[in-house]
Amino acid sequence: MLLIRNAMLYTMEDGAVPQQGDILMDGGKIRAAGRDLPAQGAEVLDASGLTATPGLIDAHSHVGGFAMEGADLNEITDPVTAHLCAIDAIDIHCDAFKALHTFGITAACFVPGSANVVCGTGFVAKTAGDNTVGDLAVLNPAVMKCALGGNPKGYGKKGKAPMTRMGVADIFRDALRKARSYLEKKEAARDGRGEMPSYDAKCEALIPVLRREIPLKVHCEQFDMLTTIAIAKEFGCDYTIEHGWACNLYVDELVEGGGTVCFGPVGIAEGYGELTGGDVAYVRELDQRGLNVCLITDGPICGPAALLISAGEAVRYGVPHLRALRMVTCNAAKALRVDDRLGTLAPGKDADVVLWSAVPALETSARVRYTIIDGKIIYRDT
Amino acid sequence: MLLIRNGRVYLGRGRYEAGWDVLCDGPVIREVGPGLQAPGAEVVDAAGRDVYPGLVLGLCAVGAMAFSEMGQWDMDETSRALVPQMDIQWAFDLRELKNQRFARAGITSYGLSPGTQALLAGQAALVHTSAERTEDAFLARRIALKGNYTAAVKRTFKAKEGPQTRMAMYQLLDEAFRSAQEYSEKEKKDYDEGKEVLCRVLRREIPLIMTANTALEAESVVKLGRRYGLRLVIAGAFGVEDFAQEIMDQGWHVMLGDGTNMMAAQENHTDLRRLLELSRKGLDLSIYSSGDEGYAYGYEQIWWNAAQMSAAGAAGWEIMDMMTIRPARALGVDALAGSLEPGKQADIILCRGCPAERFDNYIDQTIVAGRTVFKREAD
Repeated sequence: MLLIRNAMLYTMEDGAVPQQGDILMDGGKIRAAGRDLPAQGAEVLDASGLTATPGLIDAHSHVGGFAMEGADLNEITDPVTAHLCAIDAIDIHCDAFKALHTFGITAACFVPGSANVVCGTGFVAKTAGDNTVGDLAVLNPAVMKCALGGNPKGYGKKGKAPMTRMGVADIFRDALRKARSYLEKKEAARDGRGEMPSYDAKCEALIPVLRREIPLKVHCEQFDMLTTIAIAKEFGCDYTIEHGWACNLYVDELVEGGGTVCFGPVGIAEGYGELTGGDVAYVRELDQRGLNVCLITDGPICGPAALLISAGEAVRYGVPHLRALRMVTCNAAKALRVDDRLGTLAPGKDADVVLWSAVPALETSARVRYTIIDGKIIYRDT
Repeated sequence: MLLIRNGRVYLGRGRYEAGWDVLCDGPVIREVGPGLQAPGAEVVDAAGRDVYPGLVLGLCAVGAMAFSEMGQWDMDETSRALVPQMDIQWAFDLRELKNQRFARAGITSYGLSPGTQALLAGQAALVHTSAERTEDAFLARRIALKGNYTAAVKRTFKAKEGPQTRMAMYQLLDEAFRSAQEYSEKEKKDYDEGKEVLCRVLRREIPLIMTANTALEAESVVKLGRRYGLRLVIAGAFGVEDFAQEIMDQGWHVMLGDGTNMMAAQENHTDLRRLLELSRKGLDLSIYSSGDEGYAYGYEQIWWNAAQMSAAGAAGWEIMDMMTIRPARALGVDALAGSLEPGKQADIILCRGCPAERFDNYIDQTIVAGRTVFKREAD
């Protein structure tokens, strides 16, 4: 048992205002959060002067999979690799991965790269605490990573498909159509109508998408987000928009479509090809219009410090502080469908807590003093 | 005339004066002090506002990248490893500049610089972040020679004539400066523009700004600077805190790279707290934001690095100095920009408190060359 005493609590619960209080945790879970909790024999951590938030969640990361010796998250031999799993490529023992929790990131969605149209499954995992990537996983598979836009067009340079956005959409729809037909055959066979189709790993991997058990997590630049919305609608899938550069041009469609927007990395110079429109200020309107919005690092494209700083920059350009903080905590948990366990400081949730030296995303001096994952102090700033 | 009245005016090195005014005459500052009178001047009420000099971004290639030609960057001439004669002014595209958000971020001028691929990449200029005509954008041309002592150089020239190794990188630089020295001593010579530029560096007229991303790379740059008695600016400079004494003794400048870009800071184990300690002991340190390798894709990251510096314990004013007067001095343009002093450019930001301390200390107004180019919308 661990009792955090007298922190300024940002629970990120709906409607909660920051207030002084304690957090009691036991068995890796939060037992209570509030004022003057009894210690009940727990180890007490005096957090006077510190601010407590849920651990930050990076909804889109490749950290541990793009090491110096080669990119293990892009299998550029086939534009449809739905059956590949990011969990087989993330090295939790590398320095980059180990840095995550020191910046307050306690969980992330680790996804394949964007070289293919259908890239493979991503998973949600804690960033420290156990010995193997399997131990750290919270949800696997959590998403089906896909990519539209310029990256999968890389096949075109080799004279292969896709070489245009038309080709990308064609391959995307074809993969989903095949999986749908495969699923229908399987279901029919199970009902005694027709034969069971021969095993198809790609189609198998796409079944949870068609059943809306996991969302499509689609790398989108510019109007690619419209393509995503249309295709998700056609096949009855859920989706999240990833990167979403120039999302300001498509707000109505995004609101209508309803999927989460995982925006970023932000701070890109205007005009930089299909990355134009990486202005953090855009999240303000998306948030006001009721969309679930996350900020992401796309690590290692941005370092782990960038997650909290992106939220701070959102504040700099007019997003209310608590709304910005949601974009790197509870909104990410919701988008990844792990909000039953992560994202807020509520009884019953995983005891993933960060204690900061000042108010994060508001005061620039805020740095991690303690990172707690599953109720264990994983890191303390000396 | 523009009179900024009754603000809390920042004068550098931690000195604030409450209730002071800044009087601008056209593009320059005429006077800074209390109770200034200027009949007929346009008045900006700065009550309740902090007044800082605009940010000077040390190095940035945005404006010279030719965004419309993806992959054909105009700031990286990589036909040869040594191209000191290249001049960034010929790559500057006003339209590219006009699309940016520099003013919103409080950045009023920057070292427009050749890129990150060539060993000696060419000459930088100081440009304003807002201008109507190309001519007006340039505050100073050929202010520094930009070079790169990084893995990017090896990658770029591996399949060409080299250098393929750091050994060859050093030798090429050494030979370039040696032969330039020889050139300068000759009475009769065939004009060589590249050598002329190197001679300016050797005479310490302009600084040599070398990107070095690791301690090893920075060590080699230091060796070169010592050997030829150069005015050195080490950019990037991750891990430089291990051997900063000589840099301090020589009065050289460290223009810290973007610690939020990729895993640069993690992989090179940059220790901002130690750097800050060294800064307080006299290390001339500034923050810049453009990418240290590959492309320089942004500039607002200067604030991200400011936040990191704050988290490492720096006071707001220390960070403001690292983003204004210090980079101006490093670029040798502190007579033009970097502080609120008579005769300098009227590059000014009005803020609700120190924007390096809190994300909601909004920048309300940005003035470039005496013209208001950004005003924050009311909430």
